[in-house]
Amino acid sequence: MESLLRVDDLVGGYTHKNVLHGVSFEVRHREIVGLIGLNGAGKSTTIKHVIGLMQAKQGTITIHDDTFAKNPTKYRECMAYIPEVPILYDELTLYEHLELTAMAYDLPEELFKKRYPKLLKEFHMEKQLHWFPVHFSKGMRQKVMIMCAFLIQPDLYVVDEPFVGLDPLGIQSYLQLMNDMRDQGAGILMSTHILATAQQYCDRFIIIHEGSIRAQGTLQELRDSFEMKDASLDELYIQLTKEDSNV
Amino acid sequence: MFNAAELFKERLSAHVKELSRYGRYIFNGHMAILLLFLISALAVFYQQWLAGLSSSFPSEWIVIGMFGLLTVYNPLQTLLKEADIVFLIAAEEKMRAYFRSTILYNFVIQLYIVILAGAALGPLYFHAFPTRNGWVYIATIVLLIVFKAWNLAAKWWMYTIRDHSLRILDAFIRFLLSTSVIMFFMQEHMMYAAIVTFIYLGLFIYIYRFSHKNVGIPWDELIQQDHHRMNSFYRFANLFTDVPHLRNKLKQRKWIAPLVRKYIPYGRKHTFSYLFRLSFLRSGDYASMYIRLVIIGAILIILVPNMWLKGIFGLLFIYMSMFQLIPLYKHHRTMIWLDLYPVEVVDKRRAFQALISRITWIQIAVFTLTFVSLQLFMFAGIFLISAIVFMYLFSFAYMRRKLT
Repeated sequence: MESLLRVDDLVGGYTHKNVLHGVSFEVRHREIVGLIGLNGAGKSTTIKHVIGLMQAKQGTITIHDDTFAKNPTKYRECMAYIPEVPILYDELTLYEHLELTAMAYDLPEELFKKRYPKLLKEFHMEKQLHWFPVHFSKGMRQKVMIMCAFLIQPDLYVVDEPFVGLDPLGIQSYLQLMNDMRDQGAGILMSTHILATAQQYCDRFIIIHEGSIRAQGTLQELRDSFEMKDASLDELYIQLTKEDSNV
Repeated sequence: MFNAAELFKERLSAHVKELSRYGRYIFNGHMAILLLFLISALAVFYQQWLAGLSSSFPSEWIVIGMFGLLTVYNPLQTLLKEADIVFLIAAEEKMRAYFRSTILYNFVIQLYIVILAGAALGPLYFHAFPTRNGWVYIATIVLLIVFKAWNLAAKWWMYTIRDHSLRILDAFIRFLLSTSVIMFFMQEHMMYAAIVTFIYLGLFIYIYRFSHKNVGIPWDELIQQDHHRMNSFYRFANLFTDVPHLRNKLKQRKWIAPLVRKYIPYGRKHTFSYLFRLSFLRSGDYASMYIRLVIIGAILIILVPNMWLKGIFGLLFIYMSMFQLIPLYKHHRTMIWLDLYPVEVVDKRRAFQALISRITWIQIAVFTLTFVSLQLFMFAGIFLISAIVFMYLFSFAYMRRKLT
């Protein structure tokens, strides 16, 4: 199947310090890929490169065979990003965040009018439609980010740790929508520490450690490569970090 | 060992340093010359106005009212910092000395205002009582200072009471009593003045007793208040220089903002217009500063006697409002969304310039109409043309460079 996001031999990081040392993976249509790693492993740096905030020092990143440098507008158009820490405009209400996002991503107005009430209902935010972010709790702010992403329904979702601060209903709605989008053909790259949830929802996993990919594949493939039958993602992950410290 | 006196010294010197840092910018810039000019113009007008004052003018009552207001106008700056609510709250008992010092500091600062007001209102006082000795006026000012001190103390005690309506009631009653004492004193009804002073002192003692039943310093409120005061200073300083840590207060503008939003067409092209217009309206100061500049500019055009000077003031105020709006372009610089939106950067600049020229047009229209209302028709035309030329020069020659 044609790949949606392809990362090839990515070397990148900050001016004087490389964080990623040759990372390669892909995200195809109709799959949820979990990006797993400890704090400081390079997950967020990988994501920043994918969304085009950081430029690769070596290697390429393509979405639908377009690189960011070649066609930035088209590259960005195919993608929604949900940041780890919600980033909202103090000056805009919830409704205005949604409308602004819809405008920026060129969503037809009828579609915007059709989609946003459903999202509000799903995330129990109808009452807050005309509130300003100063009055939002952490979880509500996260919900605004999630709603903006699902509003535009792009091909690729890049999600950085979506669960922190969300209430159980919010988590359930998010997972449900993520599954629906996958079934409709979208690809999702999701970084998370909640391995039990990742194990349940992700089709494949990329385990990143100290800037390199230590393993990737489906749960079964990971089990085979570690020779741990019936192991959970948690157990596999802990095994992997143990091995690493032995080297 | 925690030392409250030492802490106060540190905070005060940091505060003075901060004020003088921005003070330098304020008194150096071209705005300072303008301010000086304005103040001296006002002084001249005041003198002229006083000279032509009729004897029936109620100058006595103006002095009484102003003095009465001054006794209760006691803004309190405690020099607290936001983190104090975490770190110093445990040392609340030891902070008493600190708060005593801040109250004293505020009182001394306020004396400047009393002296300025005393000097400014002096002519009015002697207009009302031309035969009186200057010492009588000074005695009145001393009385004002005494009541001001009492009111400051009472205000501080009232902080422990969280019920705002009660505080407003208290301040209002103290205002009435203080003003009455000053009134009786000025009218030489010493007996009445003494009686009302006793009533006041009764209330004073009652407030002391009443408020000392509640202990606990309202840290959150004091910190917020300090924050507001500093912010208004920064806003003022921001007219002269760029104040980086000016935290803007959001204004919802419940009526005008949805109206403006409705007039922005839907579509990708208008993404940044949407963002800039709403930010202009709601984010702290852009809109209110603009409106202030338009109003002050129009008033100056009316007041300034010379026709050419009127024109120069008009252009100057157009320059000031355009100049003050440039930071709006970078207002959202920390927002990664601006880098992620699939919208061309050129659109962003265009949207911003369109907004600036739109609101500058409004300002030009107001000023031109002011000239028309003064029946300077010919001059209104000259002003209109030169203002438009100025606007385009500014926006294409100067601003364009600033926006890249």
